[in-house]
Amino acid sequence: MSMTFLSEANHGDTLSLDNMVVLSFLLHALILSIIFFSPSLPSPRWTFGPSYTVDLVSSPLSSVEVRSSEAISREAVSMNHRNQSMVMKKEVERGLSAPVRKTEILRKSPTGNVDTAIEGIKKRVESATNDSRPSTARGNSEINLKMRVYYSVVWSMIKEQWALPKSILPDDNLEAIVETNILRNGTVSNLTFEKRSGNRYFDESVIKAIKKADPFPPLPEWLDKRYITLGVRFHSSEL
Amino acid sequence: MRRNLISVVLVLICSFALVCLAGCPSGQAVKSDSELTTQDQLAAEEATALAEETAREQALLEELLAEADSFNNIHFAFDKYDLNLESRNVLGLLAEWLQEHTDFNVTIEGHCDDRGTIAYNLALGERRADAAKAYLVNLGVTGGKIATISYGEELPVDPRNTPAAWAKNRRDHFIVFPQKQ
Amino acid sequence: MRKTTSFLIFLLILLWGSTACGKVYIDINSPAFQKFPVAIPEFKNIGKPGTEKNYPAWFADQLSRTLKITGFFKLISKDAFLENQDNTNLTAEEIDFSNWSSIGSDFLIKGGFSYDGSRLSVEFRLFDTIEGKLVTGKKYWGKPDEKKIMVLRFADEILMALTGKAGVFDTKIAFIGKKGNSSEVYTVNFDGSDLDRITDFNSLTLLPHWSPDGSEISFTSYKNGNPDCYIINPAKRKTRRISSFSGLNLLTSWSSNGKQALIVLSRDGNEEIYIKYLRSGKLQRLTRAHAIDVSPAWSPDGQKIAFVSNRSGSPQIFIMDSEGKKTKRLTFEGYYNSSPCWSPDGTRIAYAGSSNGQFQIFTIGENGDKLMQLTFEAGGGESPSWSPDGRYLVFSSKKNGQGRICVINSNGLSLRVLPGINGVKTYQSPSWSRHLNLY
Repeated sequence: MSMTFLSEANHGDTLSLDNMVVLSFLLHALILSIIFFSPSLPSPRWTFGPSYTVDLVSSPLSSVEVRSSEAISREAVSMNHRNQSMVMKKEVERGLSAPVRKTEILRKSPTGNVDTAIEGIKKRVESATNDSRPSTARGNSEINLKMRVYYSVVWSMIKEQWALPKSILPDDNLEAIVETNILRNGTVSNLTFEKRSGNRYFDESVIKAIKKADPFPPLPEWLDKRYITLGVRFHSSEL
Repeated sequence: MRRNLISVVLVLICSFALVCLAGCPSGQAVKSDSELTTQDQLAAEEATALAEETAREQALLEELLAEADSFNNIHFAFDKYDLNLESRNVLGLLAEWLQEHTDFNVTIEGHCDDRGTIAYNLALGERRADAAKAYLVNLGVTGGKIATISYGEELPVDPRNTPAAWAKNRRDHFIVFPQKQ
Repeated sequence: MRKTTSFLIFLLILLWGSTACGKVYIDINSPAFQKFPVAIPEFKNIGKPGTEKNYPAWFADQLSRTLKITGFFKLISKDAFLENQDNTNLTAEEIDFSNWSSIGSDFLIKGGFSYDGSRLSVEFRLFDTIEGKLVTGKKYWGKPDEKKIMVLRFADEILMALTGKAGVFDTKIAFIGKKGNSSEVYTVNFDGSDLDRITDFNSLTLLPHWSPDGSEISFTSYKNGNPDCYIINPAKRKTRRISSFSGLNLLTSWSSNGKQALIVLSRDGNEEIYIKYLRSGKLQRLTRAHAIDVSPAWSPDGQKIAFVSNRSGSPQIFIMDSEGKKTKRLTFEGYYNSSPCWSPDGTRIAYAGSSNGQFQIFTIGENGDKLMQLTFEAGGGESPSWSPDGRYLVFSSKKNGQGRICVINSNGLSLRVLPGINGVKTYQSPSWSRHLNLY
């Protein structure tokens, strides 16, 4: 086509070469602009099999699953308490001995202490939901939120094992901070003092409390760490 | 207290008897029949008169003692030693009686209910006794005839733990007794 | 410059972020249990067989009872013991501590004895079952009738090791036992043993107080028809009358050196507080108010005197110096506060304060701070007296109208009735002696 055009143009017709170029350019521009600026048509999808929607932001759905897995593991423990027919027998036995010990001690607490014990239980429940909220950093605030349930179990187990006649202390505002690692299987390792109270009997009693509470429940499965580090602050009186 | 009064009465009777016996003239061993009879008659009459008088004295004394015992306890409000109207009435009667029967003294015991501590209640009982004494003195009774003692909460009349019992225990108790001679 | 500071700030945030997200803190305020759990199995005969008499059970029971009255120990029941009671493993190497830690017993006491017919030797060992080691061990020799002393000595060792202070087993409590219109002074050991009647006046007796060296007891008696003050030496059973003014003669506090005493007399018109010099008999008047001033109590250093006065309308506790000057009111809560008693370290005052129409035991700092109610009993609490180590208070409380002598830890826990007191109708006004070196 273009050859015919050219030969005809060479014969000195009204349609010159320049005009042809300009026209071609305009036509190209027109077509291209139509393509670019027209409303986009639905792109054709090529699907094979079932379609997956992937979200890069974590959904509420996953945290519910985490919570229920905690509940399941704890339920499993209590069910074992009744059925005695589950896997992970070793861990279940350990879990059993801790509650039995606890109820014995509670039952035998001095009668004058019933009110104190009830207060303690109330506070434990409150603290488990309120003040044992760990301090968090932005980046890990979510993990810590999910761990809150685990921390409250640890809190409760240590407190239950902390025995100390307060009237032997010189004053009522002692504080000791103990740092400990909890491994995946819940056992304690690297128990050290971050801060001593200055009173030997107080310090000995807090170490004993953690040792007696050992082992804690295994770390949650979704937590991708080999161990966690916990700082336990012991105060001699309610703050 | 009663035992003391009975022995006083007995002493009085005996002393009366002795005086009479001592005063009687020792008669001659043998007398004429008529003299003897008269003397016997006289003696018998005297004896009767004596007995009657003794009986009267005794009755009077017992009456007095009954009167002395009749002064009721006076009562107080909790932790207070003020005399209320009824107390002052009783004290007025007591003052009158003491001024009439000058050979009687009185001991005022101050008591408390068992609320409050032992030492403080001893002091409070003392204040209650002293308040009554001061009132009697004001009415003209000689101070020397009035003794006071506090028993605090140690001797309640009603040991129960009720407001009614406590009210009864917060009291002054009067022991009126004849002076020793 | 700005670049480096922002970089540094970035690093800082990173560091903070990393440390914060590396460790989480949990707070535990106050222990759940305020007693040491301890197990005491029967003692073992390590001497000739057949010579054990009743010692195995006796030692375990006596030590258990002694530790129990301290209020610091919870005795694990024998039924919970896992260890085979027949073996004689007495040393740390031989003992399987998991048998004891698993039943909740933080501490274990094992003992062995040997009796050769004349001499008894006893070994005591205290173990920490969590650490798996021996805390303290002692061996004693003596005659069989000294076995209680051995137990008390080791109980002192246990308390020293676990609480920093020995016990108060060598102290006595003096109190009034009342029957009808007559009352007498009694003494009893802290563990309830050796109840002894000291006076025989057959009249009303009140307010016994031990002298600081524990050799004498002062009291007030109506033996002569008036509340007069006497001092008795219980060992020699000798009594002397030291004050018999008309009206009240109430001695309620000795000076620390035992040479003076605070006494309330009403001889000058109304109830005032005096210092009585016990040797010379001299009197020094301290109060001059028109109000009732009673129940004075000397501070341990002798500088201050707490007392009760109703000068502000109702009985309250005041503090003045030893000259009777600089009087300040101490108690402001409650309409009736009385019977003050200083703690041995001089920092707190125990007293009986009105609460809901009854008296209960309170402690307050000597500056009026840290007010604490210790008892909440239906029978109330009166006449508190501190133990010489400041860890306990003895007081009287009513049950069914009868007074009983009770002991409580100074932080309000472990209220118990003093054992071994019976035979008289009602009890009141306890006073705790100093250490008496009874064993």
